[in-house]
Amino acid sequence: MAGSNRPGDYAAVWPQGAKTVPVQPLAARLQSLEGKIVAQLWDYMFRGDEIFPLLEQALKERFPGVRFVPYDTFGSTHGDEEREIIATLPEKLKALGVDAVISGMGC
Amino acid sequence: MLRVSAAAEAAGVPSASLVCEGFVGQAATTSVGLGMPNLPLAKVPGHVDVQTPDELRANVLNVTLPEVIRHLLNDPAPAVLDKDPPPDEIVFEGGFEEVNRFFYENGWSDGLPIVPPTVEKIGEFLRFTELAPEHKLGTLLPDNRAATVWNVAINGVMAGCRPEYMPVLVALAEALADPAYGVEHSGNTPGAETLAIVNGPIVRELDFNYLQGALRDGFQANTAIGRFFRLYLRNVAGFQLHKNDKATFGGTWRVAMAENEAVLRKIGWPTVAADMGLEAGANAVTIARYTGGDVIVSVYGDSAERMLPYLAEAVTRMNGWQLIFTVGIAQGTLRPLLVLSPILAETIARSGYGKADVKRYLFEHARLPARQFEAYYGQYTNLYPAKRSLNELVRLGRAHPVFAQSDDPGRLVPLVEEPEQFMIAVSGDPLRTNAYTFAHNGMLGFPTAKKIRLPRDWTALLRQARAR
Amino acid sequence: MNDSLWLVVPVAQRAAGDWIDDTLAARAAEKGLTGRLDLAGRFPRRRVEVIRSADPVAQCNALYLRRGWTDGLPIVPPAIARVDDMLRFSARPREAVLGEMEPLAGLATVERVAANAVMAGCRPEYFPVVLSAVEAILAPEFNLRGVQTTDENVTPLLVVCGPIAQRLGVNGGFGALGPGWQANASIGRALRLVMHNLGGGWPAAVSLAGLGQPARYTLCLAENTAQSPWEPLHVELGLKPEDNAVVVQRAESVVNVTGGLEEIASVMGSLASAFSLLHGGRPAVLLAPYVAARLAAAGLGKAEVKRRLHQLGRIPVEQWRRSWLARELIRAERWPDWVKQAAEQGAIPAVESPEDITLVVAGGDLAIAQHAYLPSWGFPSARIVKPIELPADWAAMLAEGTRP
Repeated sequence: MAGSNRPGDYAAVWPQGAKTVPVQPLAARLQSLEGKIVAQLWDYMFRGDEIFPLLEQALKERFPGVRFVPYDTFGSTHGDEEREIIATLPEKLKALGVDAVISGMGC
Repeated sequence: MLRVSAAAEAAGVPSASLVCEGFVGQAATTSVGLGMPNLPLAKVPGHVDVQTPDELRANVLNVTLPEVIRHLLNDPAPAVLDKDPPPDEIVFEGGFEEVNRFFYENGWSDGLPIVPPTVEKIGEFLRFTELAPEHKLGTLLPDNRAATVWNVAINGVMAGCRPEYMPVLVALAEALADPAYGVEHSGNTPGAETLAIVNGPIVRELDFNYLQGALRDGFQANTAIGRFFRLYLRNVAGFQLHKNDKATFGGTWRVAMAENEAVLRKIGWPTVAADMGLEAGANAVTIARYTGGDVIVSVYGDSAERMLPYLAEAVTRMNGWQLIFTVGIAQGTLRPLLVLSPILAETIARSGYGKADVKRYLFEHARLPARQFEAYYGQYTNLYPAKRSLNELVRLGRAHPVFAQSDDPGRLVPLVEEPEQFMIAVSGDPLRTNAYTFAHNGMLGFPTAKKIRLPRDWTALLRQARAR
Repeated sequence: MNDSLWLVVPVAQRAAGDWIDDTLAARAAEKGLTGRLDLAGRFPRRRVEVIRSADPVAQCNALYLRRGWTDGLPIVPPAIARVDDMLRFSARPREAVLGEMEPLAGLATVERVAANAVMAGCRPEYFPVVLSAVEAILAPEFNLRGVQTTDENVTPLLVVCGPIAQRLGVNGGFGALGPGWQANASIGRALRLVMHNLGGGWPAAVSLAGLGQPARYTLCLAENTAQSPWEPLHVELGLKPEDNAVVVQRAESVVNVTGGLEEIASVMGSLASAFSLLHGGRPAVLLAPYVAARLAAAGLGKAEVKRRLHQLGRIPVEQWRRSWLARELIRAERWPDWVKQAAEQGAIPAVESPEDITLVVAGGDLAIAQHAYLPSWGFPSARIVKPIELPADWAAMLAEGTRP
């Protein structure tokens, strides 16, 4: 953008800061949910206790053999345990053979 | 919630994150900050709290379900991050009003006039720190932008700070960048406003007001530094209204509060900074977020025993849904703050009470019936579903044993887990028998203290500055 | 002496904050378009840009053209004041998101839609119509992604219905599809600019339409309700006469037909309708008032007219079998059942059912009747009706008058 060069003008500097986190790739997607294990992760808010069962039932109808790891297995994902859950998540998912995750609720 | 999804993705497990419609924009911004701008979101139409079970069912099955399936089976669109300009880029040249218009229209201003941040003015601020301009103090969620000495100075200029406030501003930025504070929550829907408490000789050196009107605008240090904080949240953390700052109402930024350290010394009470673990007499700033507060007027009595019941009752009344930060969302993170005017503190101290004694009194007397506590989290709100009683939660190890001392639902339970979780400060009109009780936002703005670092030639620089 | 223009940047960011022009610039480079679009992706990445020049309007036009932000015609620079004027005609906040615009998922915010409406030359009072039209193409059944990226030349047809059409001067009579009426020209153009700048449907870069069509500049009209013997389109579709609405569907092209129903049917019963067969679409027939009057006088209503067109307008099966689509592109089993069944009977109607035809009385009252057939393209079948939301003080605002 062209400067103005008039006397008494202010040259104002950009007030923000550079973004620092590089883009990380997402995990590979699945071909199907048939026979897969889906983990539910919940922050214990916003009616997840109604929404997760709805999704679970519908997915079971659509994908034979799909199984679910309930959210109680992990505990609330929002709160003082959040950091611990995140830290132990990879090994826990691996130990349980989890193929996909449904995480909620952002409201 | 999205951090968990991102962790799953990083571990090689595909995810679908359930978000209410109004949260999508904020979720996308958070995802950027997590390094996964294309983290797949499955939308639930509307807001779940106001839907009947049938409506919720229809919405989930018709809209959310197909998106969940799509996100787990189909590759998401590749992520592209926006490029940032170099930190010293001149974004605009023009007159005072033009600069203001440009900054306002581009979301960098709070709507009041800002002081145009020129390289020259920034330079004046940089003289008050030994840190290099490009020194990174941390990164701020949700945008994950670098908090640098340079952009601290810029926002300090804009806010109308004086250059000599720079050491305080740097400490504030460091506190914001501390993960313990939880800056990423600063756009939450309750809309809490941060209070910065300043301690140390710097209070007098920079002419902070700590007397009458301690929480009101009118003194440049308190006021401009308070404004700086919010501008910094806007420009470097990345919170903007109608985008990812989702405060239902919000409030204006609070002026920074300074304690009356002469009185504290006189009565032998530690400062807030000392309570936070810094050495006595240190220059420090402590930040925490508060959703509200109220003045406790006309505290009557000639002794602690006569005054404390009223204070305890007022503190209890200020804490309702916030109790979820003691039991529920985040165990034991509630830190109610009580600000005493000097005359109240002196009177209480004269009765032989130290701060710890006052805290113990509050712990034992600022109480409410257990059933009322349970109503806040499980009946009035749905902030902690599963409708568990306090006793059940203690049994499950999800609440401190102090909440299960009997089965009587009328038993009185405290606001916090232990006395030390109360915070007490001394400020305000020294001769007015008023106090102030703040409602705290728990882990969503947890008390965080930082030392204020002064440049070697602080005294000389300060003298020069004051001679202007 | 320099003047300034303070402009709202009219292009889109995705939900994550990145700008779709980065993708567009890359695509343009891949397709060798950077001679014409030498400033693709080169613009300040913020909400507001300031252009200072001796002739800022000309400078803005030159920049926008080279950035790939226009349809090739001059635009009205989206100055903040003009965008604000436009926004007064919507109750929604400027940051409200109408949806993600395919194919590049740019966020259609109310403000950026307004900026494109300003560019298109819309008067502020047209804005509610523009918003409804954008919502219509965001409906999943419109298949915006298909329309924006296909090699076919399809574009949205926008019919403005209800008292608002006359109030805003949307033409439905002589020259309804041609130039001269600000509403027809600019409302349709605004929709196309939104598709271009917020969805990223850049011709030759993202949109691979072989030829495109003139209606990709604008395709917007009102029904000639004054000279129609039948109920208006929106009433036929279930609304009340006093309701205002836009009706939007996909138009592969605009074929002029002179004569009567038989002539229209003969065009319908040709390979011009090949994609209706394949995709099951909703074509439109713009019927001249002269013919409409004579049909009504003979006792026919809209439903009967459609039945006649459905009956008369049939493609001989041999022509269909020999067609390029049937031979080269689409295997036999992929044609819908109704097409295969009709083929066995020897002739295939343009659409599965007469109700699939959208019938609109439009154009000048001439004995040499000029009709138009607009074949459909793409699935699913779509005829999208969106009510037009007016601000509460609409009438007062119109009376106040607006900047032209």
